[in-house]
Amino acid sequence: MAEIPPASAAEPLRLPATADEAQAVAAAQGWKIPEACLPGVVANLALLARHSAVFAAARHEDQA
Amino acid sequence: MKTALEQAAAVRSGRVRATDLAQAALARLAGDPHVAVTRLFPDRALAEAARVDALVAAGEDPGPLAGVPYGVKDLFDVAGEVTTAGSAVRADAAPAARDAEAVRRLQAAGAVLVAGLNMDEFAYGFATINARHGTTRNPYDPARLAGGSSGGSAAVVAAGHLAFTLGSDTNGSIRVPASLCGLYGLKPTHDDLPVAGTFPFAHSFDDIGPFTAALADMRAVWAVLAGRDPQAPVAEARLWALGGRFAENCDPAQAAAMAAIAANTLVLPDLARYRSAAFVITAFEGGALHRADLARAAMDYDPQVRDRLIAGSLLPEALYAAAQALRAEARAAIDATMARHGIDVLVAPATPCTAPPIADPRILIDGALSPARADLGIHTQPITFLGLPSLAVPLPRAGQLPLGLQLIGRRGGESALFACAQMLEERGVIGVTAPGDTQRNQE
Repeated sequence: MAEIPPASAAEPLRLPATADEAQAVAAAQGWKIPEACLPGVVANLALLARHSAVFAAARHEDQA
Repeated sequence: MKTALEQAAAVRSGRVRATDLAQAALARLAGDPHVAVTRLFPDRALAEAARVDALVAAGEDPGPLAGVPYGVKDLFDVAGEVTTAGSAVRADAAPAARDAEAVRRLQAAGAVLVAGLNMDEFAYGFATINARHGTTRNPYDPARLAGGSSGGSAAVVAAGHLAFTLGSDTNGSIRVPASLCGLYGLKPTHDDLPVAGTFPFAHSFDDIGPFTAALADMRAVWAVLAGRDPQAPVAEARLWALGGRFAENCDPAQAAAMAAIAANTLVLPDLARYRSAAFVITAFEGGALHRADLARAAMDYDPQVRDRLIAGSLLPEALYAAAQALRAEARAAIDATMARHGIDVLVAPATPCTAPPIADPRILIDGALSPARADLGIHTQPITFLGLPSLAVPLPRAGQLPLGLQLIGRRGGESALFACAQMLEERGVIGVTAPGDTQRNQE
C-alpha cells in the first residue's frame, strides 16, 4: 500500500446561490437568464458549491 | 462481425469489395433499434469505398484499414454536414468546410465513414439521454442505458453493426459506455490524438478515441490516429490497483479481477478533491463556451444540459484558477509516484456498476442513490483530471451485463496499456463476451 502526498488546501469561494444572485452575475456578463431556467440553475449552483467545498478542503475524509 | 483488421485484409487481398462492406454496414445501421444512429452518409461512404476498390484493382495498397466501415460521434466535423454536437441549437449552423483531422487520417488509411452517432447534448452527460434523438439503448439489454456521452458510438459496435467507431472523452464519455457495453474504449494521453475539427466541451480535458470489440483493432486504429505504431514493451507491465473510493464503489467482479492481477495498491488521498475540481473545471469551461448561445437561445437547449451550462457560466474565475492549481499539483504528484514505485499500469473500475435501467437511471454511490447522467463517471473523472491515458477493458461476463476496468498508464504510455491488455486477455482476465453468451438476445 502506498499513498501520494495530499495537495495544498485552498480557501473556499462563495458562489451565487439564489435566483437573484444568479441574475446579478448574468447581468454583469451582459445577459438575462430566462425565468424558467432559474430553479434548475440554482440547483446546479448548489451542486457546484458542494464540489467547490470538497476540492478546497485540506484533505478529504475518504483518505486511506 | 469480423474484426476491422480481418475486414481490411479481405479487402486488400481482393476477396471482398469495400463497396459491399459499406452497403452491408449502411443496411445494418438503417435498421438499428438502439437509437444509436443519427445520420447515414451513403453517398460519401459509397464514394470512399469505390476509391478503395479502385486502388485494390490497380494493385495499390489503400491502407491498413482498407474498406472498413466506421461511424463517428455527432461532434466530429464531416465535410458538407452540420456538426450538431447532438443539439437542436446547432441545427442551422453552417456545414463543416472540411473533415475533422481524425476523419482525414482514417480516410487516408482506407477506412470508410458511414454514419453519425448519438450522444448527450454537447457531450454533457454519462447516459446518452438526448432530447432531440432519444435515449440510446444498450444492445445487451435495450431497457438499460448504453452510457455516455458517446453512447451511440458504443452501441453500434456492441450490436455488431461496425467493427470500430470514434467517440470523445472529456470526463469518461468513452470509458463509461465502453464499460456498460462490454467493449474496449480508449481515453488517450491528454492532447495526444487530434481533436481539430471536433466540437469542444471542456478544453482542459477533451480527447478523442476509438471503441472496438477486438484489442488488435484498438491498437490498429490508435496507430492510424496517432501516426505511429505502438512500441514493443521491454518487460511485463508492473500493475498496481487503485484503492480507497475506487474499491469502495465497485462490483465484486471488478474487485476480484483487480485483486487477481495487482499485488499492490495505491491510494490517492485527494481523490474526491480531484473529481470535484474536474467537475468545476468542466462546468466553467463548458459554461464559458456556451455563454453567447445561452444568451441567444437558452430555451432551445435540453433543459438539463442548459441549466448545468448556465450554472457553470456563473462561476467565478478564481474558483476555476484554484481548481487548475490543484490539477497541476495532482499531475506532478501522480507522475512522481508512478516513477518512484515503478508503476507502469494502474487498474481501477471503469464504472461503479452495470448499466442502470432507462426507467430509473440512478446508481448507488457511497451508499446513496445518485443520478446516472451526472455520476456514472465517478471513477473516470479523477483519471481525466490527472491527464493519464486510460484503456477501458471488458471483463468476461457470460450471462451477465457487461462491466469493465480501466488500465491507466503513465503519460504517453499507451503501448504499455495495449501490452498489458494483451497479457490479461491471454490470461482470461479480460475479454469481450460472445453475443450468444449474454443477455443481448433478449431483445
